[in-house]
Amino acid sequence: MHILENILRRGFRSIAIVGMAKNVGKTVTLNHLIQEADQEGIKLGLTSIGRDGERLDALSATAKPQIQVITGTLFATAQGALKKTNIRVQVMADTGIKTVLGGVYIYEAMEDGFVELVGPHSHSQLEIVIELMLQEVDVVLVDGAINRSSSAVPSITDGVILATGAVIGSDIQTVVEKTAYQAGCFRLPIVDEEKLSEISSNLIENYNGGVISNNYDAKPIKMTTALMGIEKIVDAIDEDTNALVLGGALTEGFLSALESEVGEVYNLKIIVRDGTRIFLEPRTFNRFLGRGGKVQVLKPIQLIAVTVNSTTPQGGQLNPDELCRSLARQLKNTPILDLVLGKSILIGRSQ
Amino acid sequence: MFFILDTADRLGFTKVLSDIKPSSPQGQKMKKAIRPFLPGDEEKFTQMSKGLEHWLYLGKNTEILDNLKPLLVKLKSINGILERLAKRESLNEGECFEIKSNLLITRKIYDILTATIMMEIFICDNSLYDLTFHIDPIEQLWQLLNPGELETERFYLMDEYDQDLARIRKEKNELQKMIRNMKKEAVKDLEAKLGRTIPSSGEVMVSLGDQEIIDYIKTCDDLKLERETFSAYFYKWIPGPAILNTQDQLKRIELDEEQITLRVLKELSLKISQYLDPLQLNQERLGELDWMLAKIKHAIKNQCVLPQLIVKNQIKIEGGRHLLVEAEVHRREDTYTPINLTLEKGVAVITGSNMGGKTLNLRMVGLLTAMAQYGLCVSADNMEFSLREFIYFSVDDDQTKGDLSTFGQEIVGLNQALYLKEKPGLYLIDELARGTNPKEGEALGKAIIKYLLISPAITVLTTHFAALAQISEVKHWRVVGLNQERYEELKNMHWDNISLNMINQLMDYHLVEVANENGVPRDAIRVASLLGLDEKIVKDAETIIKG
Repeated sequence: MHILENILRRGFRSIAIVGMAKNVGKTVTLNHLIQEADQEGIKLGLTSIGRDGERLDALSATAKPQIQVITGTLFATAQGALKKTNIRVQVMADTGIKTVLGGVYIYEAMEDGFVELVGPHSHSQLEIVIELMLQEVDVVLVDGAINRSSSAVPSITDGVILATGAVIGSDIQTVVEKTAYQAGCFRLPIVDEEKLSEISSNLIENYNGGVISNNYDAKPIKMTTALMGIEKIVDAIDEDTNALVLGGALTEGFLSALESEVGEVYNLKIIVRDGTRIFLEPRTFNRFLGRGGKVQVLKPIQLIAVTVNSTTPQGGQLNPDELCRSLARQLKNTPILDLVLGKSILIGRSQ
Repeated sequence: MFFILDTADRLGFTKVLSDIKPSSPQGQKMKKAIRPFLPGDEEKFTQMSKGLEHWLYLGKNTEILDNLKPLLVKLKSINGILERLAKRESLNEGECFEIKSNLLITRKIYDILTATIMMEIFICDNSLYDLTFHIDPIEQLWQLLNPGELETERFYLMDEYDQDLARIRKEKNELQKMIRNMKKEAVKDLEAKLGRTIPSSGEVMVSLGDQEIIDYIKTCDDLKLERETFSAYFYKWIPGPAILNTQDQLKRIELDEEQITLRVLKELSLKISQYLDPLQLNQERLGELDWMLAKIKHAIKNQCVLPQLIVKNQIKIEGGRHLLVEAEVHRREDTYTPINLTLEKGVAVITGSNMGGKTLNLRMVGLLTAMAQYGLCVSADNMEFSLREFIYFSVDDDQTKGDLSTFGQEIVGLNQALYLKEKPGLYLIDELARGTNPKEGEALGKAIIKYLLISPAITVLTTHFAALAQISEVKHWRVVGLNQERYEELKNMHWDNISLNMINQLMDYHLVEVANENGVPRDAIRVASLLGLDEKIVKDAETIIKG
């Protein structure tokens, strides 16, 4: 399965690698792509977001594998992080980003070796790095750490590769459900009317939210978080309301407050920026959709592939073939890859 | 102290200065350091002025502003690195990159400057050469940091820097290659024996039922059981002794390489530090250039002109505009009236109706004088002036003033300013003694005017006390005021519709010099009338004025 070639053919230049949890094999995915790029003559740039630069994985205290780069790969990291692996580099550009480990530069590897990526902490910083790198490389891969600050990275990049694995569930069904749910968020339908989309964008950019009536009257609502603005939102919603626009996240607390305060919320559309803004338990969300609730996004997120690690660091193991097949059945048209076993599977959508 | 008390804020100079924005940290540093030209600095001012004039010309007639801006924006401060160099400290590769990047931008600026200016030297003037600010492209340092043919911002500690470095890198590469090949062969060998591929992670999964393979693996030295689950064994490939030996060798070489790299960086840093002086000078000169460009850009945008320094103790302004007020007036879509005014050593008094712009005139004179002395172009059609020792502006602008009353505040401020009366400064005093009773106020006013008449300073007062304007040595300027015909016209219209805006339309803000005061001012009563004061009161007031 040539993921990178596929990415380039579709015109994508920046891809986020996002893990469903720790130990789902995100670094294996990254290393695999670096090897693939080498074989296919694709020039790669690597960067990360929200990485602290610690050698040990702070959550599980297992050694965090360093990323293996090949000569010619570009990567962004802090000066202090570069020192740790001692790889020979050419300094390409200064990103202007400062970290506790020193300034972040863009380097070109002058030999094969290992690197640690410590870099941008905010989305705007990440955008700068991607832009700088794209002057030199074909594709930029963004290693997203598991935290709130990087969970929305796919909204910056052209596409996302989702890493999942046995670590997120005790049986195949749970892993598949959770993964399919995340993929479903990425693929939420986009706002179906251009006019509505335009007004919503405007509300989000200027006011962080609001409501829109059936004849497109927009009423901005200032809210620091959606939950804090719940009263204002409830006041603003009436029979004539077509859509509720949220600049922030759609959370458990907000949705349950909305359902109990407004009651019939299923007639209105909830519009969010993109699928990374959904912070709901799969069950809550499915129940909401099941009752006729509608959630739409301004920007869809391109899911390039799902990578699977069928083992857990504690020695757990799910049947890899069965896991991949179940995922492929759920996620039609999305390549499912087990990189440890070197297998891939793709089931197309039946017409 | 050039500005007495908070004169700079009150004039609007602080705001105007903040609107002039250099692009680089070097330019911002230069801006922070600017000081006004004071009496005695005439020669320096003339020199600066000449440069400013040329730059104004270049700014208007060439693309130089647009061409240099993207380069200046990219400049970063390298002060910290220069300090480290001065202390003979060793730079890391990132810092070498910063120096190189700074020098590359400097060289590009140098190229554009010389190209543009050489063109212009042909056309007009040899003295333009100074406009390159003597920026130094430091050719030898550039050769040092960019040993290759290709001009690039990138920095790489190239093999050319040191023979040992080149040798050890070669050895390391060879070893790495050797290990790769050995590994490749070992894995290939194993794959043939097992009949399956081994992924790059080196992990082999075998189902518990695959007894044949499990048995075989037990006989292999290079596969080690790593973990097992209920359904499978996981083996990890481990390299043999030959590979491990070579890897050890590689590790030793890597340690050597690290030491050599540090030494080469130290030597390179010492070489760079030989160019510390020109590097530092360049930063200052880039700052001067950036500041100059920022001034020019501001001047062109706001239609400012070069002020002319004259020997005579005089300030002569033609078509003077206060930039901040002008912007405000334009926002209201009104027209702004530029003012002509000549002030000489001694005292001048501005009288005129309320809302006639008396205070604004003081502010405009002060702002333009301050701009001129800070080496900026001024917002006027023409300005001639001599350098002032200080500017004092006293105005009752309704700001909170602590415990003192308006009158008290005024006297305390005046005390500080009058102390400098032997110097050629500029006193701008709005509504002298406004806070007290007219009789005493007038007397105080007369006394202060007498006191300042013999000072080398230029003094301008605004006042409602007619007597102050009638002192013989005092020059008298008056706001032309309400247009009589249009006033009558408006007076007969609907009273409800009279707004401040309409008064602005009626008002002629120009100043006229008054030789002999005759006639009685009536604009205050008219303005009050226009603003809707009870007709009866207005009539009574007019009768009283007529006597």
